[in-house]
Amino acid sequence: MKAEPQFDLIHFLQKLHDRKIRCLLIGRWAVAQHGAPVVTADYDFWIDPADRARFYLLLEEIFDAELPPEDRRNRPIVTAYVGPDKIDCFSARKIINAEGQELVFHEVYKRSVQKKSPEEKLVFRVPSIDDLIALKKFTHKDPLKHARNLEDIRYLLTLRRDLKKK
Amino acid sequence: MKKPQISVRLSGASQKLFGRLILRLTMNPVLLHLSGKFVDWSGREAPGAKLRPSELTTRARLRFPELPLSWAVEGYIALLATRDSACLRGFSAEPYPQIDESVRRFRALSPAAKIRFGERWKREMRLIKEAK
Repeated sequence: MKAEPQFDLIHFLQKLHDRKIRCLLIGRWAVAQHGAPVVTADYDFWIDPADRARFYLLLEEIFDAELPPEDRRNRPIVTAYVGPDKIDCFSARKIINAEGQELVFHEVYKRSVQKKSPEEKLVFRVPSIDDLIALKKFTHKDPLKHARNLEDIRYLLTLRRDLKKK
Repeated sequence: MKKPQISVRLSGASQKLFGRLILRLTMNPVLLHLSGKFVDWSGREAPGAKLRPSELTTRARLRFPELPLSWAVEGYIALLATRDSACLRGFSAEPYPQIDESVRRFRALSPAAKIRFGERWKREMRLIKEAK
């Protein structure tokens, strides 16, 4: 019996760095990287539109991910599955949030924060606190997801205030 | 006997939360009768001790995020009847600086260690869900 594939975030981030694929880890995993002990099941990435195809290829190569057919992979939001894990891949050039704030990938990437664990050869980027707050300002139809977003925004605002005090 | 149905008009934050203007609830008639003590179903804006229906549904959703909305509202009414305010609080993580000092150590972990902790919690959550 073939074992169910498992998504390994550290391994995937290492490979993304090795292949110089420009992307940002976003969503709750990024909030955790800013220090919040939060739990989330899904993985969210914002990918440079130019690197989209290489990103999907890597997902297929390493994890044998389930992806939509190739003619549908140019869409700004693509969902991939690795076993029970869901990976949401955003590759829009720009995103406009619920407050009308425009977030352009290249600008957000420029302002992003690099995270490193040298002993693991792990290097990746997450959006800055301000950009992550803006990326959380979307209205979800699912009230639980909406409540989580509000909770993350509260945490990030508190963190920003603490950092300014220091 | 059919359960009574109630329409709730939403505004502001609650409208954003649910993504619609009107909600339709199917209520247990006994609980609906009981709710009259705590909820002003007319939805008037007048200040008073009673909750407005939109406020009730929002609080119920945050208290019971995984239940169908009508059940969540019924559950919240039952909790209101106990008059124990502690059991009405929603389930959510407290903002980081307000929680235990030991949890602050999470911030000091390396990026890889943070991911490992997250993966472990995720697996534990999944096991709990599967065990239900």
